[in-house]
Amino acid sequence: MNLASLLLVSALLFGIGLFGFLARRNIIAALIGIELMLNASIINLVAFSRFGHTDAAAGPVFALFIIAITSAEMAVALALVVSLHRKSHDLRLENLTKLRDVQ
Amino acid sequence: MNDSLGWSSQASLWILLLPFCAFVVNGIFLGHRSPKLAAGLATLATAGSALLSICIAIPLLQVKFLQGIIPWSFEWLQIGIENSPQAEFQISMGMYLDGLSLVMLCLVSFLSFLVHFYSLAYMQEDKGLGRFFTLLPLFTFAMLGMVAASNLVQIFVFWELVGACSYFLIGFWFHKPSAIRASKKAFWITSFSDVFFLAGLLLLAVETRDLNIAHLISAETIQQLLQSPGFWGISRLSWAAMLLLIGAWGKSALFPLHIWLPDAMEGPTPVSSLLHSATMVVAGVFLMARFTPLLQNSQIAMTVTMTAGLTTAAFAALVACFQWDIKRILAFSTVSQLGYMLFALGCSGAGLLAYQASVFHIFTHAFAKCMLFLCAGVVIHSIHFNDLRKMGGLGKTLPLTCIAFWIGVLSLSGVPGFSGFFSKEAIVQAAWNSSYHWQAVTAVMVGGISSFYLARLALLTFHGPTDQNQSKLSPSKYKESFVWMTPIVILAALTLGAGWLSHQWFEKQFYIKLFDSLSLGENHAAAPAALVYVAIAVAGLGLLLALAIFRGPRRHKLPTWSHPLQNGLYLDTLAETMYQLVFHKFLGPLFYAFDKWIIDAAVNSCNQIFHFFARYMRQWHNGQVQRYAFVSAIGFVFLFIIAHFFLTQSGMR
Repeated sequence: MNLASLLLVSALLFGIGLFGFLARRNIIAALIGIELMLNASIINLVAFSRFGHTDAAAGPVFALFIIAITSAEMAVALALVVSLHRKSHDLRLENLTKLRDVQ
Repeated sequence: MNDSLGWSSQASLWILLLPFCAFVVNGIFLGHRSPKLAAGLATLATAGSALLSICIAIPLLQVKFLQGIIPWSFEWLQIGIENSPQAEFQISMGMYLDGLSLVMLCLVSFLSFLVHFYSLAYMQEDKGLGRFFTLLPLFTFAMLGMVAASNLVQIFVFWELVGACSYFLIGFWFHKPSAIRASKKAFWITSFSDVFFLAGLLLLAVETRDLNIAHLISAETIQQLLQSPGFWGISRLSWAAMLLLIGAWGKSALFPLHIWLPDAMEGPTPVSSLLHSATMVVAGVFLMARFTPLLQNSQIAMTVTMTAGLTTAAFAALVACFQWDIKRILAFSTVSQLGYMLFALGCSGAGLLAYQASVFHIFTHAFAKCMLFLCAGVVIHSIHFNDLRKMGGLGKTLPLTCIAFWIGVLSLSGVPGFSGFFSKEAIVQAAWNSSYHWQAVTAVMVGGISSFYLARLALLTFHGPTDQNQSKLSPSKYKESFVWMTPIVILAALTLGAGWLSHQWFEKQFYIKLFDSLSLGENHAAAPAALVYVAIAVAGLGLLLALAIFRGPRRHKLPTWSHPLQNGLYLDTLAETMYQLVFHKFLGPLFYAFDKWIIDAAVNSCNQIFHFFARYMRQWHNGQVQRYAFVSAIGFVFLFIIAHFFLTQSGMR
């Protein structure tokens, strides 16, 4: 197991996450995509730390931070999803364009 | 030199600053809120300025000094590259005190104070009181700054300020279309000649590289200018003098650029009074007086000055005989007297005498003309019109005004004992001494004409039968209250007395030294005494003729042959037509087309380009989060590629 293979895994994970976020129509699926991208970045951090490119403690600490922040973010996002669902029963992203500028 | 000045070098700054402060305070704070307070402040400020200038001038005028004193100055602008001395060009601002500027400072500030005081009553009921007392101190400040200027650029700056102020003040009652027209006319014509002034200034700047007055009128500079080759057979000195002269031409209302001055009476009468006596129109004469050393060394400029002056004097005097408007006659009288002043300056080649006479005439004329206009203001304010045909018999209701008016008339006519006599005689004698014999005789004849029209004006206004229009007015309309009459009485006293300043006793004290600061040549043999008697006789003849014609019953029809003169040789119509042709018919459409097809088109096409792109860009902003995320992902990739490219280029991989 070397750094390059870890980075490859994280890059793949990031790509899948990005694709999921961009391509899926359902808002929950898009959120899962975001989660995947964040996890890819966590793998990166830990890998660099493990192979001595940075301080040994920095990687895991940042990883923990990101996990904590992500869970908070997801809680908010899912709360939004729930309220959206109650309001309109429509969770398709292409219909959620209310926040755009008036044309 | 500066140490010997002591307190006055500090105080001289405040001569200028007091009116300016009044302008700023009135303009920002007092003008709108409490116009009465603004009026008081402006009057006090000019009073202080007048007091200071007189206090400074009297001790200085007793000392014989050959060069002007500069009590303070500062560097205003620096043009050119630093650290290369030959390319550097400095413009300073300061004060240059010599006989001429000291006399002018006293005159301007004092007359301005009197006019402010008079305006307290005259403008009392006007809605624009605050505005009036904001502009009038600025006008005073501009003129004071000009006469005290130590640098030609400073003269030019204040010269333009004087022009701008007179534009605002002539058009003070901006609800009257005629006032707007008059102010525009004044501004156009003076600006036209200012272009030549600027050209002269630039010529001098290029040639001498130092525009300080002291340097410009020094003998070395004149030598240098005389030696440098000219163009088209005229020396550079002559060019400079001529260009400055044309600058003064419009400002001092010389024929045929005088046409703005008679119309300038559209402003309030106190403004006319100040404009005609000490400020606006005298600026041109002052400029030429200031640069007399330049003028004297150029025969052609001298000749032109003299001819223009004499022509103007004669023409305006003739026109004034056939006018019906009280202020218009006074305006033409001013034009005529300005002609006299310039004529005298043009004669000054042979000696100091003509120059002195000219400045002395500025001095005596200012008092008389200021007072005449103030009297006219009293008359107009009492009866509310200025047409002589409806006037008459006002001497009974306005006795003091009548007496003061006659003093002014007799002074300007050159009756012995009144101040105008001394300066006019000085001018005629100086012209004769410089062996301009027939010009001197013409000047004497013009003096006769001026005494005729002035006497006509006084007779038609104050004497003869009372017109029925005016007898309808209630007697309480006629005002000769304290505030009205104090300035008039003071000015009447000065009109009577100022001439004696040229008397031997004063000469020992001040007068000769007034103008010693310019070391010009000595005057020649004295003119024949007969000339003085002839001048007196001609003036008396004019007065008697007026008495003979205008004492009897009124005839309000002028002879047909005088139509061209009534209309000022149709110069106004000519100017009007030219203005119409050039601006409305030619330049107007041209600029309109330029505006429409070049400037507007450029602006609009910018707009259209953005509009075009926006139509496509807008489609991207459809509010779909995923579209935005996609675009930013692509942008990130691009940025990454660019960063990668640059990092490998610079070897920082």
